[in-house]
Amino acid sequence: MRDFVLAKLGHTLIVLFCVLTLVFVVLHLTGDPVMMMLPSNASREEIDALTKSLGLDQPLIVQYGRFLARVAHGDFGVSLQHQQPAMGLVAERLPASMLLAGSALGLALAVALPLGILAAAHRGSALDRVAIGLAALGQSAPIFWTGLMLMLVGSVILRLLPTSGYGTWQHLILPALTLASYPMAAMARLVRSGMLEVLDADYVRTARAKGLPERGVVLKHSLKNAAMPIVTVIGLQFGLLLGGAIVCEMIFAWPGVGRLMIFAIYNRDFPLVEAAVFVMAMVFILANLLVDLCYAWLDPRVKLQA
Amino acid sequence: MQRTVLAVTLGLCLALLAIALPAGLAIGQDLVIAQGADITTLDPTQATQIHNLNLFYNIYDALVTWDPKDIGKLVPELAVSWRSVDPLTWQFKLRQGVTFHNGEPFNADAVKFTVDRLITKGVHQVYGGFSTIERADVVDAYTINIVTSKPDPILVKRFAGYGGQILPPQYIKQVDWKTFAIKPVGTGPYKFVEWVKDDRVVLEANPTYWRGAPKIKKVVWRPIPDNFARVAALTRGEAQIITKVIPDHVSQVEKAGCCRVEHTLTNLVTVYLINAQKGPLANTKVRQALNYAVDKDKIIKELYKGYAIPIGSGIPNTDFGYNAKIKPYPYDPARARQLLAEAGYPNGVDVDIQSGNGIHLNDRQLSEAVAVMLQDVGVRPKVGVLEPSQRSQLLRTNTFPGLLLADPASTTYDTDGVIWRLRGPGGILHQAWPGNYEGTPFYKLMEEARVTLDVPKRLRSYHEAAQIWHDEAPELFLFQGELIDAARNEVKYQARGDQRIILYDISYR
Repeated sequence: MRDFVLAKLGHTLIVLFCVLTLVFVVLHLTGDPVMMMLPSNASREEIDALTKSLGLDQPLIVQYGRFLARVAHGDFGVSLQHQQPAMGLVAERLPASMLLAGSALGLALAVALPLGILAAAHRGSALDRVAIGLAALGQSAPIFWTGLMLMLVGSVILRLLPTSGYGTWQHLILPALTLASYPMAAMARLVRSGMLEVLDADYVRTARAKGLPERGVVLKHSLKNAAMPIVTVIGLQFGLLLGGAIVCEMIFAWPGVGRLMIFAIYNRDFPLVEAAVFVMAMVFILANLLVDLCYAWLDPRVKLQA
Repeated sequence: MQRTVLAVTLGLCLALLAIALPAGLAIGQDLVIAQGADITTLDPTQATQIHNLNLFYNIYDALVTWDPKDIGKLVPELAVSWRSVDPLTWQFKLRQGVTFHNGEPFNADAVKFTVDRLITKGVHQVYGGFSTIERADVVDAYTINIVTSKPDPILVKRFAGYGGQILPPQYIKQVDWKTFAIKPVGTGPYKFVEWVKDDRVVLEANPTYWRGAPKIKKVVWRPIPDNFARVAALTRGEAQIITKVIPDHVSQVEKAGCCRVEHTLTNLVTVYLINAQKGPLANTKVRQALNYAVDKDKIIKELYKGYAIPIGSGIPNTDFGYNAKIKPYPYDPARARQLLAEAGYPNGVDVDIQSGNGIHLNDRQLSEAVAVMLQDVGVRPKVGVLEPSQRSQLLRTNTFPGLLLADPASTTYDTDGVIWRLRGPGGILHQAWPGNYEGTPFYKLMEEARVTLDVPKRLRSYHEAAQIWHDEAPELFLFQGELIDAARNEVKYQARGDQRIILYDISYR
């Protein structure tokens, strides 16, 4: 177990190094923050002065070396647009992002699990067909459309919830629902197909033959065995939700990391993008690590090996 | 075991919810203004975008400001009067009895401190507006001389725009620039209360403001990036004023019954810059042909719902030097074809048309519409979409091929700002058109106007230069755009040509 975690952390370092290098190269080769910072009528003299003061006049390899040295010390530098430490800006917004992603995932699970189980248990029934239809809709509707529609109905027409912003639990509902729509559908389908596979297995037939109540057969004997792929998807989805919340955060003016990052990319705010990508990558990797650990808990046959 | 895990997970979720969600906002008779983006700083030397400036204009005062009824005309703010002492020196008499929000007195030392900051190169973003200044000399506690390196007729106007906000020297020495940028202190009508990043900035009225206490006590600025969400927030009453309503959403605001749009012409001119260094576009007749080929009225009506006026040169009617005699190129495809033939291109020319996608309002659609119109006269257009920083780089290096969409504007409401800062020596667009190189009549007129303090002579030079600008067509002139904001009916608010939201002038009916 200890070796497994250590080996995973080793992998994490390699992945983070690769991610940061890729981000550094792509950002530096595709844009110039100075032009985004200065007004459009800035003179060449001003542009040169600011370029020099930001150290962007140095060869790329020198900038890269400095960047790695800073990051090794946990220093992501100062945001060019905000003039504040980049990591601090990301950390300030992380709770909002975690809250949104966590709520969306919780909501997705709360709906997908019972829906998937019920659909599988009543295969071919009207309920099954409705569940499949809803899942197809949830997976095919683009998130910006879902978000705007929910805002139109929930806020503008029914006037039940605030249109956008952050501050109370009411503010959380529409963005969480929007963000949950895709993973909810994806997970419902997965639970259904996983359950269908297991419900036909020999041990389920045996359980039924022993006269166990159907509820126990489905929830105890089948669900735990169908859970492995679901856990994998939950882990991946959490990372995706955190990173993929950008559109949702923009529509509902949610103060998360995704929105910060999109404006940072737009303005070529190198330190801020690097810090945000670092944090996102970390969360993604940690979520995957947790999934690996969950496997062992769910299935004692799985041994955690380095 | 499983129940314990479930209970712990639920507990953690609830704790996270409690930590992450601060108490709700009490709105009442406060004012909520929704802009398209959050501010990045509250240090007025570190940002030039209007959503940042709107906060600066309310927290700080400048020496002078624009007359709200006649933008471009100066009125006193922290300076009570000003005059040119000699060709290189402007003297300002300062308002007495004004204090910063922290109690620090406002005087000539504060102005000198501010000017010293402004003329330091490479540490902030507004140097360019003040590069003609050599130094500031304190004459007495309420008199200051600003000395320029060469005569600067628009020096006073420079202090009305970005960067002109007067800074508190003692406070900044006490904290540091970084702290100042998140906890600002000014002399303005509103005091800073809090900034919850990407969620809100809260200001409260300064009861001891030198013009008298403002009417609205508390103002919340909310960033709502999505255009539809901003309109929805307004119609739901979550915001009382919103900025940047897109023309397609105007009817939605009007139909809601609770709200109205407030619109006015700005000094932003939308043009396609033409890279006229070589090839067919170096030929004046080809550039004129492009101007005749585009139906500006149709574009304004269809893409901008009428919220713009066509222009005949790159100088907006708000700016000093605007020549009302110059009319827009009429839509005349036959004349365009004839000019192309005369220029030696009877079979048409290849022209690149570049724009962003979302940088300017309806930019991609605009390029597509222009491309179709150019195609009608025999031009073979190639439309390209650029990512913002890619666009900036092409601009900076003057290497954009063909046409590039831009909306230059002068923060000093002067032809020097809208044209010569870009096109003059050292300007980022200087290379793009040989007609503004040294030795050309255009260069002579613009340089003369830049340094003379003789106002009628400056005006004559600009009128003449504007005619050359129109005739030579180094740009495809399109339109001068309108600013569209919206407000709830209970709020007295009028959009300003300088795009500023001045809270002091806003009240409830």
